[in-house]
Order: sequence, then C-alpha cells, then structure tokens
Amino acid sequence: MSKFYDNPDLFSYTFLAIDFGNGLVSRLLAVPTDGPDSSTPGVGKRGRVLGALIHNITEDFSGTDAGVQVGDGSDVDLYYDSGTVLDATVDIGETLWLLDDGAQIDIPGGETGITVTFADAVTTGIADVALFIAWY
Amino acid sequence: MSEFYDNPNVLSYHFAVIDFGAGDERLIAVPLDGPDSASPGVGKRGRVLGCLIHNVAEAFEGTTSGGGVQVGDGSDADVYYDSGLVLDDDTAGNLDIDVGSSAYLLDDGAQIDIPGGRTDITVTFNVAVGSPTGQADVELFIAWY
Repeated sequence: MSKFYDNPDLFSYTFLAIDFGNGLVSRLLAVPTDGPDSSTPGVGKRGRVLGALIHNITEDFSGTDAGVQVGDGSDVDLYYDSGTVLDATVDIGETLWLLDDGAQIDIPGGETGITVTFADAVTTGIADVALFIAWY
Repeated sequence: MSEFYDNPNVLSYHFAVIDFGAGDERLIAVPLDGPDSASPGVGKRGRVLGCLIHNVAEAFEGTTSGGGVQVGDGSDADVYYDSGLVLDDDTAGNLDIDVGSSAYLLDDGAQIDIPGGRTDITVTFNVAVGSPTGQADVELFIAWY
C-alpha cells in the first residue's frame, strides 16, 4: 500500500564491480508500484534517495573525479547527485558514504523508471555501490 | 526487537546474474527477533513487497511460457509470493524484458505473509519454457516485523 513520507520502505540496490574508469555506466531501475489495496494501485511510488555507499574497492580511483547520480532519463542528476567526489584519495580498503551535494528533490509519484549513472573517472576506479532509496 | 506490521524493517536481497534460461533456487535464512524481544531467537514474520529485475545481460525469451520469481517454504514454491510467469519477450500479457530494461514485479494473486517461527524461505527463479533465455540481477524486498 501507499505509505506516508515519514514511514517509508527503505530499499537498497546493489551494483557489483562498477568500473568508474571505463566510461559512463548507466542502469535503469523500475520504480516500485503501489499495491492492489492502495488508492492508486499500479502507480509508481514517491521516493527519496538517501545516499550511496562505495565499498569493496578493488582498484584505486585516479584521474578525473567520479560520482553517482540518479535521474529521470533526461536529467541524469535530477533526484540525486553525489558530486564528483571520488578522487585519487579513494583507494582499496576504504569506504565512503555519499550524500547529495545540493538542493535535492524527491522522486515524484507516477514514474516508471529512474536511471542510476556512475559518472566516469578518466583513468581508474572499481568498486561496489549500494544505493539506498526510501519509497513512500 | 520485534516490529509492528505497520512499521517493518525492509531488507533487500541481491541475486547477481540469475540465468532464467536454466532456472535456479536459493535459500534465505529468516531474520530472528533480538534478545530484548518477547520471543528472542524466533524467526520474524514477513511479507514480500516485490522484486526488481535489472542489469539485464541477456534478453528474455520463452516461446511457451516466460520466467518468474517465487518465494516459498521449501514444499510450496510460491506460497509467500509469485510474480507469475511474466518475464518474456513480446508475448501478449507478458513483460518485454530486454538488455537495458527493468521491471518491478508485484505478487500476482492472493498473497499471504511469512509466518513467525520459520528458519528459512526459498527463492525460486523459474525457467522459461521453450527456447528459454534471460539473464539479469534480481533484488528481492521483504518487510520483516
């Protein structure tokens, strides 16, 4: 059923071995829909990106800085933008939690899909990414 | 601690590169109530919210029936959740799952909750029938209370 914004369902999304040094990588995520007992069954829920976790780094980051973005297919950072904070200081064995870097807006109801973009570093950087979205 | 049904903890389960052209089954241990609960060490109750198909590495095809995802108790594969056999190419009524696409699957019928006291549940990735193909990551979301 549809939930209130102050009592959302927290979903985590796992992306394994993202190669930030191999060009722009983008993934599509279908938005969870309201259930049959909702007043709006089948409609995409509203949501808010809580943050992204960078972990299990298997290759040091170097080159132009990289980041993580969530968008609507036309605006890649509409709902979340970590900023290009993954730089040469991010190495194997470390982990980072990335908040949005600016004026963040919620994902509106009725969307069918969102995009997750791993903005590329020019040279190297491989890690797992866990993205956390609160849906309501 | 034990949670109320209207304030559950949602856990996400990631299954990488599931081959729906071959089928697969996985076992998930049920989270337990903590030591400050009225029932410490007992398996929580839960409800499958849905599952996400993403990072599709091979387009889905089943000339007779499509693939799907089920959650069960070890003897009844779909007692707690059944997406239906909806992962397909362009068969009428099914979802067209190709490389680059994504789908969120709700239960297709009269769903029941996972009862308290269980130790594990099964997740079944149904193979499509008839020239079956399809590889993707699956995220399963379960609300435990």
